Amino acid sequence: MHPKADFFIGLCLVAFSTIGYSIADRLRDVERGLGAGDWPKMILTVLLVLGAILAGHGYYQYRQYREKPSQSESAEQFEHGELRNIAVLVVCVAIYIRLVAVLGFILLTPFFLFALMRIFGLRQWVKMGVISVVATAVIYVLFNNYLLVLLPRFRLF
Amino acid sequence: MEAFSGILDGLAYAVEPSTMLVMMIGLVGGIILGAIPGMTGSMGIILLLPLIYHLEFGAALVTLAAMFTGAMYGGSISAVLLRAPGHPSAAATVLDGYPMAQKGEAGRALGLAVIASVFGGLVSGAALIFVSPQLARVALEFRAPEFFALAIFGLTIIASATSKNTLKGLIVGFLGMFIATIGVDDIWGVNRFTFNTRFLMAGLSLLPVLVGLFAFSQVFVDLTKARRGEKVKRQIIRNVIPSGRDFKRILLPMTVGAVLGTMIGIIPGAGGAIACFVAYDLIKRFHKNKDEWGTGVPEGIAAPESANNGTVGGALIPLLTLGIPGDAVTAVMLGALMLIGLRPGPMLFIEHLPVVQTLFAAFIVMQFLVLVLGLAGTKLWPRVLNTPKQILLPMIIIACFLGAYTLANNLNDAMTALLFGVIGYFMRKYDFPAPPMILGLILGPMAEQNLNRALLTYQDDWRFIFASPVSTAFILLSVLSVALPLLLKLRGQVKMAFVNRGNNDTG
Repeated sequence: MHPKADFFIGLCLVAFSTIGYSIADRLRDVERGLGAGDWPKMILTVLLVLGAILAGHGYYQYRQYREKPSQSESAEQFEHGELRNIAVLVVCVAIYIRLVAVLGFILLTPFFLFALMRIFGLRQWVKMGVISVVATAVIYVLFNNYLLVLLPRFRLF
Repeated sequence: MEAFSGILDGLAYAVEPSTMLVMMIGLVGGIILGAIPGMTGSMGIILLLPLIYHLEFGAALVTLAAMFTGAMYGGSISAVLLRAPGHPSAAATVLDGYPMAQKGEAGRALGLAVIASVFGGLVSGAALIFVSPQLARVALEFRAPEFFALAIFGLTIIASATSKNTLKGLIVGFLGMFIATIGVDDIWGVNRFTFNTRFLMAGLSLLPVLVGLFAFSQVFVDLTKARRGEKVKRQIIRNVIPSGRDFKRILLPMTVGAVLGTMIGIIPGAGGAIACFVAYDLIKRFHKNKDEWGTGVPEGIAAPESANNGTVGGALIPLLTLGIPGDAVTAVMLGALMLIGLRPGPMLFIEHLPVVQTLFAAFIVMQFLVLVLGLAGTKLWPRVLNTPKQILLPMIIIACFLGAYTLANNLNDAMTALLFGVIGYFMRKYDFPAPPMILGLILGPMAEQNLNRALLTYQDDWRFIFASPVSTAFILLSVLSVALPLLLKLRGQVKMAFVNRGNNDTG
């Protein structure tokens, strides 16, 4: 149970649905059947109601927990440093996706795999190096020669 | 007779070397991923996507079904050896599988699990072959109101079954439906929520969302565990083939489990996790030595294992005939099939009958392959559990990137997958289930188009929903699937309040 989070997520949903509804309301309407905005408006109305219920339920539970402090929120949500590690990983992957268009798959992937293994906590440098190079070569041959998928190539010059 | 010869043709295709090769890839990949706690059949299907783009429809469907079957069996390996089921469907196998392994009989436990899994798969395969065509024939009579009601039913049942909290399941499902509206509207050709960006005009593709929600998010969840470098204790595996006495003991539990599993699998939303516990409890209830259960009895392994494998064929029935997935894995499978241009539903049995017949035949063949792989690999599969996640997870990240990229050779799709990976990670943390979002994405356009058609036919009269008994039944079932868990929860809370008040009064 995450009463505080549920409350804020519910509120965000209500705001999101309201804004979405106002955008959908400006879309083309028709006399019979569904207009372009009618279906999104139906979905957003349901989302607004569900969001309000989630926020209300979260608020009610939060108040209950405050009255009985022994029943605190269920376990700690994030382990120490978890979010930081994930942020580092996400940034690394995002940089890889952007750079691979320029540096190409075959040149960039060994370094990327090496960095990922390091992020995941491996410290056997030789093993990491060999796996990075071999895995990249195998994937490249498999995709280029057998699955006929053209992987990004070096395009800097 | 015609159907029988069709299945024989399918069998001829299924045993072709190329089909057998992809079937083996699916099975071995499934067993490996199913065995590693945290890795799921859904993720396996996503990792297979770059491969199935290049396969014929029949081979693609067979590969996906093999992955599902392999993963379902694979879950029992870690349940027996680690006390950590590879997936929730193997949770009941832990109860007697692990104690048996602790008594030095890990080989016997693994052997029993293989036999029961294969038996469950065969029974559900028979149901798949005999029930699917009949159900598809009924579904062919469906018109717009029935399809609209079916889409709503599919969404609500997945929302309530895949989540501890129906409200959160519904929210995710409707968010999926909303995401499906982004892009150029199919009916009027109007831009919806595109904000004049070219990328959004084509709408958000299903594949990057699948890759993000099911594969990337799992990697993020496993990151912390991998950094801890948890290691697995080695076990000695011997006496894998069950004795005649064991066979005699497990025959009835296995049969009951297989039938129950198949029936539960057919019900959309109910999956292996429910089936394994129902079968375990039922067999235990009628067993003469109840006290022995939990100490490593063969029946306690056979019943849940045959039940969870029974759900595989069962879950494929609503998927193939109605286009409604039975559980999370079939939800991802539905998405994968749509990406290669194969739309499950009643028309599949008209437009692609040979493909369906190939699956029927291959489904039986793959059970025998599971038997061979399972028995021959009992010494090998436990080693899989020792694969360092620090190596495995980076490979999965590359596979995710390639899976998203190969859809249209577009790096934006890979970025979208990463974004949905982050969203999926937080959804897991706050108990929002991912499968309903996929269902919303798939069923949203189907619901909109059929609602429009029904409104035009019935001149904007919303009573069209109750015009046919089938659509009325689907709508009532939808209401029931949402209301029932809420009512049960409310009943529990009221009961708890009475108990608390009673305790206060006596205190």
